[in-house]
Amino acid sequence: MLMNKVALIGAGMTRFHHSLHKDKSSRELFVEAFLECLDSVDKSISHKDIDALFISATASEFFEHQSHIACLLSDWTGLNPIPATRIEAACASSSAALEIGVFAIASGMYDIVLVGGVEKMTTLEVDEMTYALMSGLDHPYECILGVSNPGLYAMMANAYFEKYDSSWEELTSISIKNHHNASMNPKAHFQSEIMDIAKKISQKKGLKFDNEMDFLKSPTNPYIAHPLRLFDCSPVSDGASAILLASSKKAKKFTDTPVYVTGLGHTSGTMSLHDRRDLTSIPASVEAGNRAYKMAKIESKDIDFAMVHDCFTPAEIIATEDLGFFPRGEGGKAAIEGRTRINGEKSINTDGGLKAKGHPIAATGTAMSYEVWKQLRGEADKRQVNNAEIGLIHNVGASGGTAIVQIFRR
Amino acid sequence: MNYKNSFSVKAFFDYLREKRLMGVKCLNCKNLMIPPRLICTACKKANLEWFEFEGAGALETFTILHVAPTSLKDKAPYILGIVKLNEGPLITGRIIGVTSDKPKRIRIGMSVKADFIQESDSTILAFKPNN
Ligand SMILES: [Zn+2]
Repeated sequence: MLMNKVALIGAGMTRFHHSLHKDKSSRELFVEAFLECLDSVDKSISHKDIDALFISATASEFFEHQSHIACLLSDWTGLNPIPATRIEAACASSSAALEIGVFAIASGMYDIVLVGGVEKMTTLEVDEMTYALMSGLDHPYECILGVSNPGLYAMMANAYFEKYDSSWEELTSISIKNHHNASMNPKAHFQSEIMDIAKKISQKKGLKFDNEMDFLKSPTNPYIAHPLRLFDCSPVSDGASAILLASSKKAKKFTDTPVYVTGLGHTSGTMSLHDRRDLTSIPASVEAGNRAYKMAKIESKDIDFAMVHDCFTPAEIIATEDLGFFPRGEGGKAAIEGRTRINGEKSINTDGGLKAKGHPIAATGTAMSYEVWKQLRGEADKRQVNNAEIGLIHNVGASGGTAIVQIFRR
Repeated sequence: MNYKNSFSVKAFFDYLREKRLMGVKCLNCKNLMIPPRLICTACKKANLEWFEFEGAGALETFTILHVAPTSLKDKAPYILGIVKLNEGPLITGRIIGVTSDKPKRIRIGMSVKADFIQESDSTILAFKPNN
């Protein structure tokens, strides 16, 4: 239980993109997100109001040969001498940072805390980037064999297909929906429908695609890790996100419409995928969800919309089952039936998800809460979920060694 | 050999070089684990002994990896799988003896047995189909 209630009073993020930020490093990316975050505070905030920084970068040692990044970002945002600490939990890093920020305020130690994450990924070639991100897996028992992150989710997908007699075609409903949602999100990496991308490629290469499936099944959508193809994978993006947290007492001074943190669930699972008896679920997600629901005193049916960790398309299907939104084996069917689109039965990944919004690893967690912030304040424009009251984020580290679920309320 | 007294990553790979697939057995609750650990995953006691796995099992799932990390770029596409060993635990390995251009030939549930392949300086755990 939290000693004190904690609220979001500001949120900012860069656009996620592979080339737009070519000439920026982590510090410029994070400062950009930070400045937007300051601007987003309704009644204005200044540097001196901020007491501490908890920040994430997952693999900056590989991407930029830069560690000690908390100090660097505190310095570049102009926040020093406040305490600055780096939090790392693979792809779940910045939601872990948000959680620590909440604890720091709830303890009574601080009133206002800045949390966020940044990842500058495009410095490396694809094979080097693949290797850098494999540092989040079990090095001797997975990495050395050549198992990559897409490889792990591909193995989960094949296990899922076998168990539930489903197939790769089911996965395409996730990428099609998430590209559609991202087409309405100015922060997204891809702001176009899959069919628009297909048309662009067909013009350039003199090909013809009759429909999405025709394109997705073509060699233009090559295998990354069978059965997963390029459009089953989140892209490589640069980006940063930042959230300002405040004690509920202080929050009123800065905004009339704070967003409250009401549920926190954070669990660790086995580091290696092979140490799980069932490869079609992420047990850490199930437990993190249960803990967050319990703390928020709600059930999965009460969630109006959710950002779930769709690093690869099968991950969204598994997540919607692990979080109790749909019965086992029915997450894919639910997506095909349109039940997860915006203002469907459960609006999932209204921002386009990792799949289409982009996944600059450590920026992802707080970018999910950025979308929740927008939705709960009615500022999500064309993506707006009607009567959005309760939002959830679900952020997974690697194959499920870390799972974080957070629930927010107006 | 003294190093094999410790249930370490190094010991696992030293055994692998001798073509032996070694894990541990909990002396308290009989739980079998591979790779070796220092604390039992079931009863949490640190009272273990070496246990040699036969290396036979069934393919639980697999993938064909096309986009590989730098050191394995030349080997791609290669096949990876998780195998459920006959003794119970699951472990990841490279799948050999099937070609990656025929994914339909790789079948979940097919029986496989351990093989040991030399790659750069290390021995890699692999599995190949039984027939
Ligand atoms: Zn035991």
